[in-house]
Amino acid sequence: MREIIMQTNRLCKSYKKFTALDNVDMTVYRGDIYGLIGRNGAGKTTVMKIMTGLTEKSGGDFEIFSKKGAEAQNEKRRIGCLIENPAFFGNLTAYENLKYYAIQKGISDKSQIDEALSLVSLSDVKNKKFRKFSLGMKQRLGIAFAMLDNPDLIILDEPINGLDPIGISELRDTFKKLNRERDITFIISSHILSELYLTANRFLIIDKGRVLKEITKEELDLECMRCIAVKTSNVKNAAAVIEKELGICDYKVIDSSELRVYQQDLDPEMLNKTLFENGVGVSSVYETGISLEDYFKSLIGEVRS
Amino acid sequence: MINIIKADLYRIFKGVPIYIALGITVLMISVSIYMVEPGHIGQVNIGDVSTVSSQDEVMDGLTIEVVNNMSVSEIRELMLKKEDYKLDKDILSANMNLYYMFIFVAALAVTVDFSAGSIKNTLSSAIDRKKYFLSKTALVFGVCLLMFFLNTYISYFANLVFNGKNLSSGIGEVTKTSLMQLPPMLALISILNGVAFMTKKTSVYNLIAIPLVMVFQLVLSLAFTLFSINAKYADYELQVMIGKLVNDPSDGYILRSYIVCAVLILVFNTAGWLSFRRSEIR
Repeated sequence: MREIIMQTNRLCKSYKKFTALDNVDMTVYRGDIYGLIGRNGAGKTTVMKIMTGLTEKSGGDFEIFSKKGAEAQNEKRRIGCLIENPAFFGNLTAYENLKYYAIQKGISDKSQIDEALSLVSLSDVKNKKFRKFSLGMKQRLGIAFAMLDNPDLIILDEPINGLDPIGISELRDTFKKLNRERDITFIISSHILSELYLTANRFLIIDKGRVLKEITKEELDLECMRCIAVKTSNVKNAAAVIEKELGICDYKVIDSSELRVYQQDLDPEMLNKTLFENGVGVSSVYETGISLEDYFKSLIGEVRS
Repeated sequence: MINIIKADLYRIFKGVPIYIALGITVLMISVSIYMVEPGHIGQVNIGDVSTVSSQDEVMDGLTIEVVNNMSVSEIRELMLKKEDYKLDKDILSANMNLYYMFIFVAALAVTVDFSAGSIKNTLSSAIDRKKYFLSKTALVFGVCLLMFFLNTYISYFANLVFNGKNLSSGIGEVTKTSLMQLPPMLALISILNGVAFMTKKTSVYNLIAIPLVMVFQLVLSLAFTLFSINAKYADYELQVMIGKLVNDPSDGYILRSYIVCAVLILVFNTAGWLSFRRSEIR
């Protein structure tokens, strides 16, 4: 049984008449790189702010490291985070800013500062004042701050904003390395689906404060992968025909009226003909397989309709 | 809590503003020592204000008109010969000047954290709002009181060295007097700490804090004039209190003024906490 690092139960947040979060349920296991996907204003940052104590929930519950309420407060020392834009003191250098927080956190081993800067490739500019940093450098410093003191959970709000493609790639490798070697769990939010797809292993898709879907990467792959969808009232027989007559095992029964075949070189006409000849009535056969963006749009569209 | 204070001291003393504040304090002391008279920053006389004409005698048979035409060094020579005049206590009576240095301290310790947004980094660690508030409050009080005592003892020793024993009260007397002034000083610091936590932005804080004392004094003056309020109530305004506590006040006055200070300390620190406790951190 995997250890649950963070879990919410019907989490709600309202600002006067505006509902920012509406009964959000999410579960993050140890070792996950958990992606929060949503449009701007979907509620991703609000979830993170509640987890880190920057704002109070209006309803529901959440647990961090199996602790609730006041006990969860003590567990915050096991969390590193970067929420919204990175905020530091402009008149201090990168090193001095991290040293400030190291003193605050009671970190006596100052070599951790150099290590954090090295992980985000800021060692060469550690003596440069923060106010002279580019947006990408500021973002990296924020991530370095989140990594101070070897946290068990790192929460990053849109960490790749302002980074160039090489920077994004390096950061992705860093996250995966820390996840693999130090068993650090990540919760990362982004509205750039393609990048989050490359980094995370589980996703929460959120829109207008509501959870659309919580899904693993494998499930997401299946949802988006090119396939032939078969609509039939006799799914069991259809599956048997596909296996016996066509020798195909790479298929999935979606529900009582649909199955999907993932064999890449299969001709839909041939599939339809085979099913018909074997007495399986088919209402429709069509090719499907969508991009992440289209998948996301379809989820939002389903909610709207 | 100690770690937060240590971190803030590290940050504050890495920057330039604190040294500007300390430099201005030393400059004010230097001017006061040389002029043999305490300097004043932006203070308004309230209550009973006498009209003095240029022909009135101000000291040793000299009129204002004559004194105004003397050079600084001539005035200094005259002042050094004054009998029964203790410059160090007179400097203490003008300690309201420190209010403008305290404004710096509260801004550096509190509002800069909000304005930079760096408070998010602190509160998202294992530091709850109560600990944060108490740490910042302790820091503001600590640094301000340090400035207060530095001001007292630098003035004392500089006066002793440059102006001689005749104008000096003695270290025991100066210590006793500065301790008497502690409650109004703590009240001043509480007002600024409370305003800092209520405003949460350096620009808004400065807009309110800088003219606050002057505006308050002007409003009081207006109230006394319009409503014919007994001028003795002006004795409980902080600037007047700071001055009066230096000059052997009665026990009754001490008690009443300390009660006023206690109320101000409680009200402004509580207001600051209540404002901060559940505020959204942006």
